[in-house]
Amino acid sequence: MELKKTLQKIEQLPSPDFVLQKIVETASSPNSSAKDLNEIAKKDQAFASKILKLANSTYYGLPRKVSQLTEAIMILGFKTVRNMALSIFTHDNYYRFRAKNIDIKDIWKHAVSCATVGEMIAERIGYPNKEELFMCGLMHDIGKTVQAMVVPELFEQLIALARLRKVSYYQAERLIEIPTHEVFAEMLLQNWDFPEMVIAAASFHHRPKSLGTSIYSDLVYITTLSTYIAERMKFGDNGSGTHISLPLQVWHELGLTPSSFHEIVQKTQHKIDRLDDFFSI
Amino acid sequence: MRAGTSIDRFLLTVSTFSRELNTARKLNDVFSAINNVLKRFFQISSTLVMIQKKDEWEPVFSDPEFPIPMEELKTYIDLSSDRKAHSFFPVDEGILLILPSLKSGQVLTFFFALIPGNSDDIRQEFDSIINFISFFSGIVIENLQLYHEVVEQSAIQETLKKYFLTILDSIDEAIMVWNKEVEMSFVNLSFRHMNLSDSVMETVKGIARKTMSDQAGFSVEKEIDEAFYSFNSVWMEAQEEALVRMEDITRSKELERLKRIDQMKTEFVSNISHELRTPLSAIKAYGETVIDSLGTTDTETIQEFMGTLLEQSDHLEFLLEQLLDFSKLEDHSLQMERKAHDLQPLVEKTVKSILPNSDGSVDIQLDLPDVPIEVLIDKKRMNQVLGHIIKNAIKYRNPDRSTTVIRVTITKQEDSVLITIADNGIGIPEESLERIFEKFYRVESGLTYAVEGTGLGLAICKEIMEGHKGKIWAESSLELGSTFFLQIPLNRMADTADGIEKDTAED
Repeated sequence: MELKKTLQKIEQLPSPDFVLQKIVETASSPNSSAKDLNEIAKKDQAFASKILKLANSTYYGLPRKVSQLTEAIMILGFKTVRNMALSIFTHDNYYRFRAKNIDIKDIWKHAVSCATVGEMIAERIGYPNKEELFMCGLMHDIGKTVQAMVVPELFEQLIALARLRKVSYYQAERLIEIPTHEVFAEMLLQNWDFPEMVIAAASFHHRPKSLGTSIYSDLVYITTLSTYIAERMKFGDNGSGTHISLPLQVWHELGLTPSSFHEIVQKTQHKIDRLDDFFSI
Repeated sequence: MRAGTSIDRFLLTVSTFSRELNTARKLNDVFSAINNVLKRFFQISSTLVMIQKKDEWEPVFSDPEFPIPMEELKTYIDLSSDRKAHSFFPVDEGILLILPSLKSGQVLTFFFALIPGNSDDIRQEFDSIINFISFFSGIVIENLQLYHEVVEQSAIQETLKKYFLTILDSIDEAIMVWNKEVEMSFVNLSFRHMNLSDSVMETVKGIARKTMSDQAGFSVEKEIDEAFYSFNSVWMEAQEEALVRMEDITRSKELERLKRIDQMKTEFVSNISHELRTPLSAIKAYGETVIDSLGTTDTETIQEFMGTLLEQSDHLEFLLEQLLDFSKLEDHSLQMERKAHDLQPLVEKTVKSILPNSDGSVDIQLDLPDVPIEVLIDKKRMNQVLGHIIKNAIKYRNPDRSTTVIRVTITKQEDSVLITIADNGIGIPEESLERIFEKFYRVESGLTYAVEGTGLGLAICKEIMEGHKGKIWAESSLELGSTFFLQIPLNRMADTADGIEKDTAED
């Protein structure tokens, strides 16, 4: 693997277009109003109608159909609409190809499931900023598809190795000593000029302790837990050949008790069952 | 004036909300805090609060009448419960804000606000602020609910405590609870009123200790300082403490004793009348016979009649004296005239005076020391005691034996002299052994009615012995015989120095 070539290839990968950039920006800009976002979305009607389709999906279960983005923003919130836009963009640009040994759709399912489970964990443990966890969960394994797109043979070998040796994808990466999907994700997201918190979640969810104490600690620990739950519950496929164990630190950091853990896991299946529209964007 | 940054506004809002909640004691305070914060961002036309009662969401505070029908609100509630998030709904009247208060993934309450306005008024920063209010108010509401539960519980406990204390205090029994350190952790009113002496408290402590070491309760009655107490203890496993209930049963004990004495007195009266009638009827019969046959009967026969007459009147006199002694015994006025006497001749004389009356089947053996033993006694009274015990030995002899052996022994001890009178009679059952010295008491046996007696003899003996600062007790085995012990204190220097003269006169 030539590093320089790889880096160049990463740079050539699609980055958020104007509309998504605007949506992300508006969603993080305190003074923007619901109407502002509507104006932006008008510039890409196809994209807007995809967002509305998700907003009207069974996942959100709105009491009545929404036909305007403004309405969706008011009812579901700025950041939820942002998450939908991001979901559509990443799915359309990073999860629409075929690979040997694994169905890329399953990796997508894993990503969306982590996003949802992350939100549920936040609700249960009383962490208000839950929309950011959706984003972190959604993007945490983006490095894997980046590998699949940039170094496809290597990606397929890693999947095969993980299955054969019954190790995790991450352990397989370490075995053949190549830059991990964490590194690939970080490179991509930096190219995108994406928020640091998402980079933190993508880079540290396998080793949350290495992050040290940071304002992103909660996000990373929750993402670690949500990937663990998604993997255990077999929501999609993350390319692992085994189940990793949950670091003890996660329990301590999140003040998680066996009963609250059990409660979260019990509720996930029901929620995942309603994600169909997200799975097949 | 420049508008503050979003962070500034967020912090100002959080500070206002925190200040509003600082004095919140009721659920209502939380909602007025939410309302006051929201008012800074929106014009609000009406508000409504809903709380869950038995799985149904019910409106509690509404200001003014909320214009949106309940049915419609329920659909918003369902959405918000599912999403665990607030929403702004465009409605005919403007914008409806639904704000759940969240705790651990549960919605505790819903706050509705109707905002006249349109989507232009909804800015991104409201999402962050309202989201924060949702979570923060949830924590406060849960704490308030817990606080009210605790207050309520403690009020209930206080009432219950008073209720049970009143019950416990109304009980005559003293109730104490002792902890591991053998200190009292609870006492009731009766205990405080009893003013128990140290010796009683020591007994109670002992009972508490035993209860704790046995980890089991027990019941016991004890006599302390001439009062009777009944104790019941309970092992309180959860607290590892011992509960002791105590009752002064002196009065009921005394009552029991008096009842028994009364019963015995009744028996005594019927018994003594029988005892008196026997010699009396003999005296009368012989007297009448003599008078009727005067002149026709020879002198020898008359002499025999008169002899018996005299004998019976002697017995009558004995009974009367015993009765007299008894009445003195009742008011403790039995007087002793103690003088110094040698013991051996006294014993020998008593035995001699009894022997001729027996029919010869009695063998009284004496084992007396050669050295004279001088004791300070009322000679007549001591005679009475010795005589009574020896006569008893003969009276209660074992009919299966051909010879009744009575052995009288005198042993000099360090500062007393012990007279033992051992027989091979019918013996005294163990349960009666302690009671034979009680007045009126007669051992229940086949012989009770066959053998005459007032039931006063041994009680008088005991009184006499105590009048001599001595003791009397008995040991016995059924069928084998009994041994009576008389212990008389030896002359002390002090006693003789008191100028008690030695009586050497022979009676």
